[in-house]
Amino acid sequence: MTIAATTAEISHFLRRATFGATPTEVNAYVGMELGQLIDQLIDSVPAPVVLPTLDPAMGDYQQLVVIRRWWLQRMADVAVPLREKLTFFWHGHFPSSYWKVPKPQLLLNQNQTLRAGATGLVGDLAKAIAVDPAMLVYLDNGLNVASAPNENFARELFELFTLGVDNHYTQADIVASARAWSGHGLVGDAYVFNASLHDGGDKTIFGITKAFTGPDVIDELTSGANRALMARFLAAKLWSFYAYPNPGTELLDQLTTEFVNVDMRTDLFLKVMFRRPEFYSAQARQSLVRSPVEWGVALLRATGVSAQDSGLDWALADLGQSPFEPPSVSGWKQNEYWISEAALWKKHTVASTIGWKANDRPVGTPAVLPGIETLPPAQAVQAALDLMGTPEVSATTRGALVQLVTNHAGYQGLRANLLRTIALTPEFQLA
Amino acid sequence: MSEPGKSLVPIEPIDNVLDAIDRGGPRALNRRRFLQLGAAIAAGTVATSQLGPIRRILGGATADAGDASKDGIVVMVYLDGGNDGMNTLVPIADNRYHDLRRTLAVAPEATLPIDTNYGMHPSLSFLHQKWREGTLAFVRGVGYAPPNLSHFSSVDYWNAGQGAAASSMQSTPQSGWLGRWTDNRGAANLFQSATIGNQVPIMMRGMSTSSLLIPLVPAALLGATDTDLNERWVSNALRSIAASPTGTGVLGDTIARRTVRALDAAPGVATVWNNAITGTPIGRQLLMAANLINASVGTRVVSVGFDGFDTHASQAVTHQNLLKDLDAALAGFFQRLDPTFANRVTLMTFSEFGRRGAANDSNGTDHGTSSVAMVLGQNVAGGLYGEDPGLVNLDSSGNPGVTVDFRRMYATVLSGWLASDAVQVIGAAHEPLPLFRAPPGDVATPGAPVGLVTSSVVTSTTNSPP
Repeated sequence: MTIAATTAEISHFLRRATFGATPTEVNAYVGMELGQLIDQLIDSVPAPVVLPTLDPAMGDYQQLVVIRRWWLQRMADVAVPLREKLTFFWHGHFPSSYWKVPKPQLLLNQNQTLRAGATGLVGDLAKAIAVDPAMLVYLDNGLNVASAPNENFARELFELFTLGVDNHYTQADIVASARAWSGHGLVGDAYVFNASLHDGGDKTIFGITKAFTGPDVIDELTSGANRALMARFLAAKLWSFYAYPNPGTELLDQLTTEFVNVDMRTDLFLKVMFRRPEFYSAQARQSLVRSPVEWGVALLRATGVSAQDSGLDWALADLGQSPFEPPSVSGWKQNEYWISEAALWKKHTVASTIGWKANDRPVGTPAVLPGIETLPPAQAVQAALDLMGTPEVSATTRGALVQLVTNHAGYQGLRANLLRTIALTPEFQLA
Repeated sequence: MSEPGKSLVPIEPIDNVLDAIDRGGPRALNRRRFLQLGAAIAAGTVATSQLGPIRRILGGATADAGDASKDGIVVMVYLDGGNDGMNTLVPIADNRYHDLRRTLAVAPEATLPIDTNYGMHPSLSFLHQKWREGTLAFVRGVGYAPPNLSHFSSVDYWNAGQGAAASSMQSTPQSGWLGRWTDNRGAANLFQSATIGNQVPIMMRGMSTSSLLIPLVPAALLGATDTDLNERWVSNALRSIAASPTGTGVLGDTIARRTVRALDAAPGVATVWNNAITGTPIGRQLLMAANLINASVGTRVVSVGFDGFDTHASQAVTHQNLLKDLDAALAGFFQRLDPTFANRVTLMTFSEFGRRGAANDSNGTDHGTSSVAMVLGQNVAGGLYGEDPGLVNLDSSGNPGVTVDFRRMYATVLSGWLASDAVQVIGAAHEPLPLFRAPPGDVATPGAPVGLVTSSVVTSTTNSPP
């Protein structure tokens, strides 16, 4: 027996798995069974990636501007940006920052590595990132040699990437793992394993003594006694990113089992996760704030204003979530961290720019909300809410927006004011 | 406000301004009026009887009555990444230091003199001046035990100031020590707790209150002016959305509430960037902190942060530059601070941990345990506090021990400077350090730094690096 997904389920799924959807986009899936929709979107082949070419004459900082704009624009342009959102998750999980790695080409290469490995086995992705040149610079493993071990990467591999802090590993395990990763370094900007700089001796990690060589530390994590710990750590993080923070013990136990059962393959796990009834619960619907990138990309998608024209790429720094410049190796926090006076002011600036750009579209581009001035206030509000992918709002919010439109009779800039106000409502700011 | 007597805005008699605000409520306080009130206070053209109403308007009603001139103000400077205490307050006479740190050891003759055992890093010229004035305290061996070498667990623990030990923390703490302090005062005063930057750290988060977050970069703030019709429509719409529960849950209600706070605070915040828009980020943050305090709007606690102290590699130049920027930023702060606030402000630096005893082979240092904290202010009794854990007894990771639990610093500030019940805020009794010569607002009798060793037995020449 198949049961068609409700509009609310489709809408919620698209809002979380991607950056949101208009009623028209939602309607395109009406009639499909929820699992079928989930599988279809997760299995869909993403639009081809056309990476920007970085002109060496530009200078590092200008190159950074280029790659940041490029990625935001891709998030805004791709029809179903499920892979882009997942890549953004991984960027926060396996981060590297321009602050430590002032080589945008390496950051862009890492971004592509994350995108390519986003849906596959987490162990494979971890191995690819361990020897990714940007990561080798970011966490100093490029300097980690037998005669001079550097434990920076080895520590974060356990603490932040796989197990969680102090979760069944010791300082001795970190020191031994640092020895295992020695010799995985760089020649110029390219990864090279230099056996003569590698400590080939026996190391004891998680109680197992052998001549670990680096990647086999990750094998030990994904296949050894600690695999369920790693699965649990990552399942909780994925659930917190997509559904709500801190899943309860019983749910997390089940998610962990599922993740282990699929050998920690991300796409298969997402299919499980998005099918969970808890994902569609009232708790889930009200328990995430859109991060600044999610909020900004949703605005770009709704209005068609470009990343460059919007000023979003610059504003994200002040909003605390600049792609390619995560604040630390632990990536970004969630929810309350995105709610503040400063964020409201900055979001208003961005939304205002976007609102006015949408109000005054260049000749030859499709108008945003054409003819909205002629609609009765309540209909004008609904048209704008639909465009913004937030068709349902509280009666209070609706009333405030209708009042805004009513005030506007005879004044310029209705779209600008309506869109920027909607962008600042609780309904639009929540994920 | 920085130019007394010279107003940037048309002058309106103060009485008229006060009347207008009394009639129109806090929202009648627009940017022009705010500037005018501030300028009038700075210029001394306000009758004493008017000061109370003005401060009430600018700062909102404070939860505690009393003499504001005796209210202590605390500025917290977070050195993000783990500042190398040993290369800040350098143990010049310790041979172990030179052996372990090799080329990273600061040469004794390059340091700024403290006593026979210590010198300050050569980048810290302003702080050294404060040291000579007797208003800079170093607290040695500050940290927590047992250590956890994770940045994130460590700083969470420092920020929380109570609860489970860092190594057994199950999730990010819900509140921080200064957040709980503001909880006790209530949320009435918009400006009592301020964070300058782009995120409020846990330290400043309460269960029922939060810190006003002021962005580093100046911008036109929604709510700063009520003359623009478009802006007023938008502001009014957002205010009406927040007037009742939003039906979108706790987070949605929080968004709505903080939006209104932003609209209310905007006229005041717009003045905080005055002459604070050039320089290093930490320099600008501290100039803004001084402007905010000078505005006399009831600010009591301010948080700023300075990133980059995680010096795993090529530390010597990096750390030298970090300390130079810090020193210049602190100099700028105390220069900008209105002298009437000088004996009400205490500034404290802290860091999640120090660095490893020995240098690593990347010419850097790995994560450590204890570090030094610096406390400065006109009423601070300069000197050396806490026992130096030294480099003889290192733990299994090669780190020195902890001799002063970091919560003793908090207890010192809470009881000695913020007139607060430290046990209630940090959950346990911790013995305060005798860091203050006089309570906030009192005139302190200057004195020489305490805790020095000036015996001539040890000379720096015997301790040159091998």
